[in-house]
Amino acid sequence: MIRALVPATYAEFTKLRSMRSTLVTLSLFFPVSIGIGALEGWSVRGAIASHSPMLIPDFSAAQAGFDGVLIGQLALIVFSVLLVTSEYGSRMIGLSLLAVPRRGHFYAAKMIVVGLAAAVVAIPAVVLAYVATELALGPYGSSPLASGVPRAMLGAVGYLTLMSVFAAGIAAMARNPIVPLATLLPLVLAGSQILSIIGATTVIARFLPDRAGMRMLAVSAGNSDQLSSVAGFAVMLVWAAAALIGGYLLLQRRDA
Amino acid sequence: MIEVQDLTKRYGQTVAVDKLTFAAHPGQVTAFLGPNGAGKSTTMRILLGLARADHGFARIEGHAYSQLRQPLTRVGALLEGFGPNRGLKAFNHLLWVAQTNRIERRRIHEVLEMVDLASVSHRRVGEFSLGMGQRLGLAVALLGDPPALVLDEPSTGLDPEGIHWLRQFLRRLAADGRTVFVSSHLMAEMAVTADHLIVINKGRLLADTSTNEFIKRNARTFVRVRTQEPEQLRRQLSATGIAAVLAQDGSVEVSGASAAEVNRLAVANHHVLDELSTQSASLEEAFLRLTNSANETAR
Repeated sequence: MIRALVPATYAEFTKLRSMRSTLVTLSLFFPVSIGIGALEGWSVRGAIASHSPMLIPDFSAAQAGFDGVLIGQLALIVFSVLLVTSEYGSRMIGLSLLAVPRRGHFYAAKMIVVGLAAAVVAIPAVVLAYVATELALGPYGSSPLASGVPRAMLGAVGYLTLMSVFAAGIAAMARNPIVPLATLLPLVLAGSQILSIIGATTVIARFLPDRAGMRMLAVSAGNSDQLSSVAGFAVMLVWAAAALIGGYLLLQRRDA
Repeated sequence: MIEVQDLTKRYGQTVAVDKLTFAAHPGQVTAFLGPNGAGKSTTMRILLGLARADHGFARIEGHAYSQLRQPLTRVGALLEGFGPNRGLKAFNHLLWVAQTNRIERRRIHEVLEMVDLASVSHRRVGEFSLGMGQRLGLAVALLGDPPALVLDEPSTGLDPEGIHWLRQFLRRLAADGRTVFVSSHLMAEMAVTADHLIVINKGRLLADTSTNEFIKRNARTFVRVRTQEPEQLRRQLSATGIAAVLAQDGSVEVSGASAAEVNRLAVANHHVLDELSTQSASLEEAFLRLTNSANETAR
């Protein structure tokens, strides 16, 4: 099984690096994460120095170091969705399944490449975005080795990887980029934040993929309303697995 | 060797393929003919494991497609509508296909040469013309150097020069001993290329015959004669055992005799001829007659 996956995985990687859309969105993840991180650090530094009332009371310099990748994840989501749906827009899927007739193998290879690519870019991006934010905070900045930060970095890489796989699974079900992008991007940007404020949906919002997954990035333990890091990880894992399985079942059932 | 046995595929109430049985053999170009919507593409997609049959089976070299290991080295395929992503460069498109089946890189350059695309291999597929895209599809099919080829309407988008090239190309592939199975909705185009013909309509088999046999049987040649007394001439011809019928336009249509023979008999009987010509019904007409008669029986 593993040996049979190797050639298919190489092929999926070739598609990734040969298509402009996937290559560009994947590389955008870096400048967006680091740039937003630095921008936030710089503006907060000014706010602290001038005793601005705009600053939230529970501001944590260490936690702020992860805000860059949370915006950067939008590029990762678009990348994952495009890598999957590029098969359908051009109906290249037919050829992919001729070359790899076992659909499970094709699907596994695609998802391995999504997960690996996300993890490989997430590792340096998480560290660099953190460092850029703290440097921009200047005297108010925190150290990468501060308590809870290394664990949160690991959590961030895990979250970004799982989010990418989740998006890819949704894209495999939809077979077009419109529906997954139109739901995932607003959800991650604002939707679940709004839902978490509305009283009736607070409890549900806690279990939405981005809300739960973001607990993996928490530097310090949250309040009682929030899931623990481990629980957040577990919930995120369930979301990613569900999307993966859904995409797989539909691929098996449909005629290409 | 490609075998299809008792193949049936339904989409809801519609029967796309109806108990189809035929075979395509190595060393031959087998044309798979029928009007648009006859079930050709569906049959090919089942053959290649992209759609499931409701009944019967389709095998390549004795195996179902999904059971083939490194399938591209066993059968190459060109399917309508299954193009590469437009953002891919031609070379990279062939590269990923090659990687899936552990095909050497060297082979990519070989097939690019074979289809005359070597000079544009680093251009994106989106910039290709229809004909170039079609040739890239043929390059993909040939990548694994397979003993069998399944090509769905390969002449789509080719100009007359391209079609001529394709014919030579298919003949050469068959001469190498490969099984070449190629669909078309244009009868005459394939008749000059194919050794064997499989004709279907509404999912049913209408003809499974060698091209020569089909031409002999269907491409009727006859002699047309015009004279002032056609009925008299017809009787005189019939009396000597030559089949002749009176056509609606008043001419006499004679089959089974050459124009010279008809002329001799007419002169011997003192007819003055207004016309004496050899007519042949085209293969396209024969093809239409075949598929239309099937339509009428279906109604």
